[in-house]
Amino acid sequence: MTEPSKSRPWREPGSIQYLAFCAIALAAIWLVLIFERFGIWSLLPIAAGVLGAATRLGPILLALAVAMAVNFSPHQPFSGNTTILVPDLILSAAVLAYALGHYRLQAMMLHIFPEPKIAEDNNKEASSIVARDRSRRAPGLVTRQEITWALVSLAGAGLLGQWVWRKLPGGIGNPRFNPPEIWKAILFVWVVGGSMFLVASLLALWRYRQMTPQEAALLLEDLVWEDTRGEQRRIARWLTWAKIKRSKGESP
Amino acid sequence: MLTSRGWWFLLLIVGLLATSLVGKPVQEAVLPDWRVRFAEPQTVGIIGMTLALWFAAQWIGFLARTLALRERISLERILSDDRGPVDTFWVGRPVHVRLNVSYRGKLRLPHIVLEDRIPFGVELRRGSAAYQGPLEVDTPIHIDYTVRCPSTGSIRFEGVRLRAADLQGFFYQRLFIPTVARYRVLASLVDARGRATATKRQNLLPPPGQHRHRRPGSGSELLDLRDYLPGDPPKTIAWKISARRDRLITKVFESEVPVRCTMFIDTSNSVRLGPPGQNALTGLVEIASAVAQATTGSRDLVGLCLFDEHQLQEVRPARGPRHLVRILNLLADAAGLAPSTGEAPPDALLPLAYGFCQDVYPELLEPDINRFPAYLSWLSPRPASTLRQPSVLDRLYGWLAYLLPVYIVGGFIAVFFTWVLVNWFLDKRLRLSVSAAFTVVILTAFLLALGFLRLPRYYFFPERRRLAAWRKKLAAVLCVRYGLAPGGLEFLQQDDAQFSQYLQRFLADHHVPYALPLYDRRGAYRFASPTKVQVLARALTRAVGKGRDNELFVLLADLLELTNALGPLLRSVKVALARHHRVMVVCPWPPGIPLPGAEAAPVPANGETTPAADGELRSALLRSTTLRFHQAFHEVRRTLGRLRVAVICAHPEDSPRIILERLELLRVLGKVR
Repeated sequence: MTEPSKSRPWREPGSIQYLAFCAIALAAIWLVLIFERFGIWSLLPIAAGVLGAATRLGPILLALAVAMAVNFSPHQPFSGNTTILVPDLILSAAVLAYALGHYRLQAMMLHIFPEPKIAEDNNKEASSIVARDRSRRAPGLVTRQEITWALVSLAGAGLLGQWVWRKLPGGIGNPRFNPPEIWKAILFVWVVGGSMFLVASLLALWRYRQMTPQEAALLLEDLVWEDTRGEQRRIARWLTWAKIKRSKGESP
Repeated sequence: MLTSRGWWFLLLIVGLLATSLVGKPVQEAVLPDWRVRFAEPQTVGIIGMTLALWFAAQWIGFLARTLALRERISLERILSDDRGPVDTFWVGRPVHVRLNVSYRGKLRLPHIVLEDRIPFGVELRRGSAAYQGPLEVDTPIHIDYTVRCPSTGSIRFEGVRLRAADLQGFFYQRLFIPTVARYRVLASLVDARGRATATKRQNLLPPPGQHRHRRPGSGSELLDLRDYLPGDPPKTIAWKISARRDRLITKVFESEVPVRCTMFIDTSNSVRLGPPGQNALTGLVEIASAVAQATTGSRDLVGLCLFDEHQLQEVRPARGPRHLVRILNLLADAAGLAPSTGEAPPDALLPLAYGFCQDVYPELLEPDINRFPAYLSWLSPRPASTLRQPSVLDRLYGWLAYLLPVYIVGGFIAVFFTWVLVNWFLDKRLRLSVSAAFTVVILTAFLLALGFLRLPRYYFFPERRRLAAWRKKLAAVLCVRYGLAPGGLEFLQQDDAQFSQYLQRFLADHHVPYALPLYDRRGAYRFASPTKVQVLARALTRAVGKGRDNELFVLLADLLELTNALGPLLRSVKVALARHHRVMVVCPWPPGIPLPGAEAAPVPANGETTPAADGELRSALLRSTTLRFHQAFHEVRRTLGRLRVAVICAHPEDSPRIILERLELLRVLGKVR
């Protein structure tokens, strides 16, 4: 098993690659904002990104800082007649690149697996028997192929994001919602919610079909218990009470 | 399964999309005069959409890779030692384990951790039982490590723990792939003198009856000469000596019947107590293994009888390697037995069993198929009437369903009076109207309400409610595993004794070591088990009835502190002695307690420096325990010594030697008589 270096994992080549990823993303954000004449506001995302790098909430801080910079500065929206707005594309891809790099670094520096649920309950005896190793990802496992795929996914997601945003209907079927963004939001929630519901239902169905005999028996056992637990509980409590009385030599 | 990291990222996406979609209209509707305006909803929206699409792609990719993962992975575990594949472990001998993992999926998994669950009581000597890295299609993974078993018994490989995650740590799946395999750990091979076999043995085994029985028989070696008696075969007449003495003299030959030894091993709860591999039963099994090997080596017959409080299992005396292996297997099975009592409080075992179940059967604890509604522990807590000895808190917990409304009503009354007081204070003292301090009051009320609602979670029996949830889930698993009727699930939740028994059975089946309280609330020892004496007496009488010639019966039994219940055994021993058999008793002796006659050396068990008070307490405890054991031993020795039965303490090195000496003694008895 490849173990990450305990002393300085950020010095491993894999970590350095993702550190560079984050740094380039920050630089790209800064350049876009400078070219679009955001002035002093362009430093806000850089500050958030650099400070956030030391915390677990780096991507969240960066995204909020970018949102604040583009919203609250006295600036007009990015404009252009082309189908793809390059500043938007670079900005969204850079924010995604920072998030991707930061989270992959976290997987190497902190942990990649969450704590087992039982360990969260702080029961020593119960958690002593469960594997509590949250195991970091070894930086040596980072491959060139992985970095290439990450770059491709950045560009793809940036282009697709912009396209989908533009294609979200604002006027089609709008029952007089003004401004049309509200109708856009409603449509978006319906589309996303509906898709998620569909996927969840299909997954649940698939899971039922994949059950082992033991799991299926347990499900049935649980269903019977759910439906009759009141009666069962009453009978079981009386029986236990009578058993205890008898063991103490008393008549129940 | 989404991790907390994934949830945070999802929250960010939702926030960005919500801000860009409805931020501007909401601001215009709610805060029309706010100076800061939403200027660029499109850019924020595109960022949000980009992150959302990428996140969705990651999720779908992870889902596609991990769906039916268990069916796509096949495992093969191969155990071998220097000589090749093995299906049995030997104490102290290293065994190499190789786990071959092959994956038949279509998409590679970017990051997994595979871990072979090493059985309890097994020491990892070399290598690692885990693998970290990607799981490639059609590229097998090999995990190699070496283990060693320090004590006799049995071990159980449960399977392989598999954890998969995406590279960001947003999604996570945890599986346990069962590959249950049970192996016996046999005692190491020793020769007749108790030494490990290091030299080559004789190729030619001595003939049966190598140890001549010094009693008249039909052997070939001359034992004695005596006067001729009518009926003696003429061929036994010693003609030369008869001529010299002028009367007929007959030759008497030795008997070639080998000596037989039957060992009675106590496997009751009293000897099973303690850490596996370090309990009294393991000591007895080691002694019995050494004796069995030594007697088989000298072509004598050895038999075995395993008994506990209720039943016994016999193996008639025989010889030969197959018989020896059978005895060693039985002894290994016996060494792995775990103690059990219905009087053990289930709450002490529950966390251990639940933790194990979550590790090995995580799919059976999933809320989809094994649910415990959170409100149930609030609305239907367990009443004190179903507990054997309820404490005050147990009684109070039974009233939880009524305590909660009282708390809520009381809380509302408190809030109402606080509101009146605050109103009065603002109005009369600070000369402020309530509407002026509206924001502060609302915020304070909100925080108070939040605290008010959160408090019960931490102060209204959190541990009991958690154990109730665990108990229901485990009860369901036990019901399915042991085939209980549908009503059994609720019955296990109410009946402590039954639930405790099933928990112990579950843990023992999986070879999970667990501790049981030795004494009940009144201070009585739970595991004295006097009924085993009757079982032992019955077994001994039966063995005497089937015995031939004179035999040695070795009782390896914990009879300490049972002198009042020894009546049936004494009667059986008298029967055995009357039939010219020999009986000896070996009492298991706890490690760390000096043997009778040896000088006490009160050293802390872990060898650490302890504080003075702790050290004094430890040595006082050791002294009192030693005294108690010595008195009990002398009592047993005095009781059995009246019948000329030797009683010794179990010692892994000395006891086999003493037993073998007794066997030798048995051989010369015929001559003495």
